[in-house]
Amino acid sequence: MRRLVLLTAAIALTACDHSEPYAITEPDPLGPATDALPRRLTFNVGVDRDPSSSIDRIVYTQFPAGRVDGDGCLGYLPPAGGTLLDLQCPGGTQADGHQDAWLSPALSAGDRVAYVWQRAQIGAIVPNDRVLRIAQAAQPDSVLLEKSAFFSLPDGRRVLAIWHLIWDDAGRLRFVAGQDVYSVTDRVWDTTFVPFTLTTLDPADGEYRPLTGTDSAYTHLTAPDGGVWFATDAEPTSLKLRAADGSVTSVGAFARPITRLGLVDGFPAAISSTGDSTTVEWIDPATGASVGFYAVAGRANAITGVPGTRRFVLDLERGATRDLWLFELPE
Amino acid sequence: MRVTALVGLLFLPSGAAVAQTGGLITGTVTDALNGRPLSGVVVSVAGGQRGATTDAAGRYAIRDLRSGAYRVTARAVGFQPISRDSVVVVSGRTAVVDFQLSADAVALPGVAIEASPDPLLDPRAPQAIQHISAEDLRTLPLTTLQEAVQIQAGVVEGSFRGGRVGQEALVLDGLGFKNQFDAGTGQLGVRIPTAAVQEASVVTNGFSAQYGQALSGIVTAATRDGGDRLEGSIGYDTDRPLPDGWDVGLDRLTGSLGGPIVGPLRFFVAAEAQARIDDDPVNAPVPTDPLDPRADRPWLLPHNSGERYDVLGKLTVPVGRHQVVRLTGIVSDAQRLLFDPVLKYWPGPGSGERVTGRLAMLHVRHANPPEAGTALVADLRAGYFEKEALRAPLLESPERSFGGFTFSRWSFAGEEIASTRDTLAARDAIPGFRVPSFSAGTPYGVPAFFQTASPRGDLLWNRFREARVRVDLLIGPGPDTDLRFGGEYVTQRIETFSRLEAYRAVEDTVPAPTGPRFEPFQTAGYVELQHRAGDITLTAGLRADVFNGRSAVEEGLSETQVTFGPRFAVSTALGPATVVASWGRFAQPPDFQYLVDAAFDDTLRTGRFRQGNPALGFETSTQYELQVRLRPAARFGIRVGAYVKRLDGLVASIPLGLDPDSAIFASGDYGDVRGLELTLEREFDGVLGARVTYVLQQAEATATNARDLFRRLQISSDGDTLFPANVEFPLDYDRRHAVTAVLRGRAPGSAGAVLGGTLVSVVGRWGSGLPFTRTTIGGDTVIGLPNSDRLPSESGVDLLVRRDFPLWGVRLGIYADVRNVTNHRNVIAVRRDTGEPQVTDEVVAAMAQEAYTANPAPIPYESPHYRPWADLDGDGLLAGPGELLPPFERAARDFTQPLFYYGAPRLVRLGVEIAF
Repeated sequence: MRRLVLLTAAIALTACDHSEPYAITEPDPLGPATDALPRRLTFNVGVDRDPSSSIDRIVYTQFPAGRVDGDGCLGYLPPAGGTLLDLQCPGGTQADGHQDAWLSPALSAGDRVAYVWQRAQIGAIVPNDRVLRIAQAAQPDSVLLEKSAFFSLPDGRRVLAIWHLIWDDAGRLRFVAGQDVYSVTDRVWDTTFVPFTLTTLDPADGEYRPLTGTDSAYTHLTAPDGGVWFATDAEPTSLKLRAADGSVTSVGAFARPITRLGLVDGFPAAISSTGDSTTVEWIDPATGASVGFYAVAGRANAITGVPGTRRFVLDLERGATRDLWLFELPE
Repeated sequence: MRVTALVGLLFLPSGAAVAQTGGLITGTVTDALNGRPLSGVVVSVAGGQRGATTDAAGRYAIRDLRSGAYRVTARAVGFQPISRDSVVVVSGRTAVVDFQLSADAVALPGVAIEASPDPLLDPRAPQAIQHISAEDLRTLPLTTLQEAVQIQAGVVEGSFRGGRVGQEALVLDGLGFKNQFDAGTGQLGVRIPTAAVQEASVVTNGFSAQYGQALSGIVTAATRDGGDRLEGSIGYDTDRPLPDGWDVGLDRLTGSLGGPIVGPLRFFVAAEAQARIDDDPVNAPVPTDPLDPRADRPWLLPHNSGERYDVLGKLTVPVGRHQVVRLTGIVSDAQRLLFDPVLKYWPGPGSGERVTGRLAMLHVRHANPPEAGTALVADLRAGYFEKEALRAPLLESPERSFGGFTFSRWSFAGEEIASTRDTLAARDAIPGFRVPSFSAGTPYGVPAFFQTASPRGDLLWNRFREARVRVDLLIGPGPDTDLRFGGEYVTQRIETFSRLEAYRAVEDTVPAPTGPRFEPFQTAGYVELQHRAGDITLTAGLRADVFNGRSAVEEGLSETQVTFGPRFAVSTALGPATVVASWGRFAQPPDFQYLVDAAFDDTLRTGRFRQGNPALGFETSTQYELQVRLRPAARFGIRVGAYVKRLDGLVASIPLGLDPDSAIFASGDYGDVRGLELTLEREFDGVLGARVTYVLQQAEATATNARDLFRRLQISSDGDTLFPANVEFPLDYDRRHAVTAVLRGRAPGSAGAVLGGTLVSVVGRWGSGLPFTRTTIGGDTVIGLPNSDRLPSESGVDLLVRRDFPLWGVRLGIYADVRNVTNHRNVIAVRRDTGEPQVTDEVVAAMAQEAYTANPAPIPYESPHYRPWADLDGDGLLAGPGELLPPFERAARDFTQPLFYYGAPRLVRLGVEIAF
């Protein structure tokens, strides 16, 4: 009996589990800063701009305060806000000797991101280079396609800047092609973007193709059936539709000049910014009638709707800050 | 009958393989009828393969016998042969067996009288050998040979008699092995499974001229041979059943098997595998900050596991009647993670190291038969030794399978580049090395102290290989005279690679990789004569050592270095005491790492680039020792020894020009070690035994290194540079007082069925504090003199309780082995600025302020660095010192926890062993 007890005790030694060290776990990410809407999404003292939404994330360009090279990075937020999912910067986490920025990001339904990589010397007004990139959404450095943003249009105009990137339903990238014009007043440099035309890039062949009938279009949206809604410098309150066959018609008018178009809850919405106030207005493109009007304090520069919801994100300047805010259409 | 004799030969241990010399059987043969000495009598052991013939005075001596029990037989024509069984021989000691032979015609039985001299008082043992038997390893709270060495007098944490670590050599079965590349800072790489240790010893005084490559001591070990029947053991010990705080994740498996293969061929195999989830447990205080995850689970560190595997195999092959060949091989693999506070909050893999050792050895022995008249024992030994060490980040976290065991070979970043010494490819950032950035996964959020990769980015690798051949001859012209001579030749190949900040390409601030390879050689010859005349034993020897590092980067810089080491000892009985006086000069080549350039910090912290010196010479020591042994009562012995050891030619770091970060090594330092060792022993009689050792020691040396030398330069008022006289400072292992007590007791059978036969052994240790150097908080200015401050004293009590039972024809042993029973918190290091392990509040505040100044950017709500508890005004932004300094301070306090400044906590292992 004693032998059996001894043997059992010996075998039992191996049956116990060891103590484990403390687990190395990262703190849980924070949820939204508040349950209420409108909701501030970014609180940093740097510039947050050009949001683009998908079902599971919002990507935008962030210029982190305190980064000595002034780089513009891509920030990834949960659609409702909270702790950043990621922040990716040109050249990595450490500042370097270049002022690089990843601008105007656009998320696709196919989990890709397109953006413009602008490279400049630190403190320079005029960038050295601009490159259009398409990459995996979560890894902007994993480049699938890279193409210079400097190209010539068929009419001979030289494109040196591209802006407001949007994916269409066919998986093509569409953007505003134009030039930056620089001027100086009282030793202060000013940069003005002059739009030429909407242009598409089909990742399948990598070719730029201007969209006819969209001269001086500075903002645009994807419309049903291969169409494009847009606004032009010539008629800044008019919402135009370029059909798939290339015909262009006016489908409605906003009360104020359009600063930027965005698709919210399936409707084309326009933000109109004047001074330190912004209005957001929705039009039913079928009737041309206004279906909603929303006033926001501050100057909004861009809008993106959160797919599948009545929510939208504004790139909003209030005082010295430029942050992203989340709003929701009233019922 | 013949087979039996050969089997006996197999059991004959390998003589000089042990300790300084093997054991000795000697005595006198007389005629039982008239008491006259008989000459020409053949006295033999082990079936006649070893032995001696008596001289005209009837005396004989059988030399170089390894410890064990022998049957000794005396034969002479016209006399009845007579044998004496179970004559116990211990290496370094003498067993005396006298015979009285009776003529055939006389009906008187022969008589064998064993009267072994008192081993304590025997003047024929001039050296102070401290023995470690296999029984000691089994019955004391010791697990490895290294641990057993640590409780011997004069040994402090790898330092022998105050010398720097690495001033000793390992002699395994008579052949020395030493990692000559980085003995002072690296590992040997090869470990002997404990079950394979037959006997070991530590010699810290004037060791025999047979042995070199050491200044301060020799550790010898003899491994077991296979027997003539199958024997073996398996064992397992663990701390699994113990509660949190007592369980450090230990699992240890041991096993051995030995016996006959075919005919006289014998084998022996021993294996040991050990793993711990925390391979370096510390008894550090529990952090006070509840955000620190150690606050809840302070007993184990993550990313600090380790495992090791050791296997020894041995074949014993008799060749003819008087020769035997032994083939021994050892394979040791160890790999472990290295917990780095910088990576405390990084869940991915950190850095680790892998050390492998390989050893193969051939031993051929010839011994003259007893009838040959002149005793001759000739040994030819050849060995191959290889040690490879790698330290680098792991490519992925190893997955543990059973306790700390992963049973897999880990993958390290840059391993191929390092092992091929590809310094060209290594100029680029090396794949697998991550660029460090501040971790956002800390409880404090702020970007400081804790990173996602080690900013050091070390990729360090070296491989040391050597082939060694050695011949030893022992001639005994008479029973009282031994003449030994021989020599050895060692050829070595050393390859190293080092690269810092391997996550970045080499540029101005990133030193270039280094990858030297060189092939030193060493050779030595010795002669030693020992003569015994009555109570006086004289030993005189001379050893010549030669080495050439052959590491010159420029032709002709490498030089052949030669040194001679005379050794002399005399021992005699003076009244009730035996007095031994010895003098000797010992030498060892410097660690070869100092011969070549390196890109990494060394222990002297002289800079990030170090210039090697291929012209370094021998490090030497000259030792004087006087020893007195007394036995005031039966079983009670006293041993007192006093010694002076003068060290010279120690490797020193000398600045090159005015750049303190650029240094070269030179044989520039010297020092003195003085000591007194007192041992009181009550020999273990199967029921009770005790030994208490006290060591008083002072070890000092000049301390030339680049930084200290600059500090000691003084500019006088007239602008002259003054070179101060060389001053001796305490050596790092200058432990002034050390007491070790070993107590062993076994409950008698009358104690009852439960307690009877239970063995309890206790090892207690106390040592005064080791020296350290105080500096300012920046570390660049010394406060006071080097090593002029002392750590607190250290102490600990270890306990083993063991009980053996017969079980189904085998022996089952169960035991509990407890180290540091009282869980005493030993301080083994301190901060140089405060003299305490803990930082002061001022230091924490200064670190926090510095970190805040470096990273003052506000932390917004959306940042993973944001922590709501730090947002005092709730505006979604941590900004300004009011909100940012507190988390910086908490992070600084966490980061500066002095984990490894404390020794091990209470360590318990419960074990079971089955022997058959």
